[in-house]
Amino acid sequence: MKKEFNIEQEVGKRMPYSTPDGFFDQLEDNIMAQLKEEKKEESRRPAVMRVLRSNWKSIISLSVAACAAVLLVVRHNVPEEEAQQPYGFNNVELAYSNLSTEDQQFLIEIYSESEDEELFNYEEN
Amino acid sequence: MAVNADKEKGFRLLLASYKESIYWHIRRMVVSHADAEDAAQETFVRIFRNFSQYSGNSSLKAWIFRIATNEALRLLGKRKGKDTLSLDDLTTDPTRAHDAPPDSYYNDSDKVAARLQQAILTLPAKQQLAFNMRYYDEMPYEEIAEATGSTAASMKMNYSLAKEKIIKFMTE
Repeated sequence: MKKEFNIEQEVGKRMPYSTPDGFFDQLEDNIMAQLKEEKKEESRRPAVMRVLRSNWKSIISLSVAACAAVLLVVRHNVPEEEAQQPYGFNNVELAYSNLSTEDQQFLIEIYSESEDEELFNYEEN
Repeated sequence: MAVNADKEKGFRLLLASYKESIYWHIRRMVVSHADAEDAAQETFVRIFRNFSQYSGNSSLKAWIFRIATNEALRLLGKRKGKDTLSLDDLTTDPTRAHDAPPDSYYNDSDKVAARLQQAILTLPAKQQLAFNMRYYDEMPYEEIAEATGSTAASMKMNYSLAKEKIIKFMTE
């Protein structure tokens, strides 16, 4: 009669698998490094804003174009009597609210900075 | 700042406690060292990101093992060109032991130990998990059930079935 295989006695917890020397310490270091990198990525967002500001002329042109496009859509969709009115504050406010939060914030920052007074004298090249 | 320091300290303690058991749990499923390393790393990153979602209703160990199992299944799914595999997707497949790309961290000179892993890999997923977590990690059936989304009674049965099949495989 064949003897039944006893897993605990014959093998225990041995496995044919191994790991490189120092692997588990390295694993821990790699995990902490990845988490640190992810944290850095999150904190890099203000730096992105700095890049945006250094290119504000082209960006503001695009934003103005986007606003104009939105206004055109809004004007097209508003009731006729309202469309006859010159662009009122409500329409601008509506267009502004249709922008993304980031664009809104950017416009506020650009227009509120005193050293950017030249913006009001901005002329397209 | 104090909260962040505590969170990191707490996580490091968790990492120190579980890194080996989680790695080996994944390794037994995926076989390849490199794949197990990737999945283990991703497991702990997910644990850190989602720790606020741990409600404390289940055991912490079961919660961690559940995440690790899902990462292993995701990796196994990628091998088959899918986003992930469910426990039901993993069917009995004696060739699965050879799915993994060969690496230098597999040594079959210990024939009996190598054959046991082959036997385990031929099992349906739930039997495999029940066996591995009971035999290697010595987890109670209730914890195994939490980690696999099953019941303690079901995991106990799965363990018995698994052991029976393994013994038959090893005796052939």
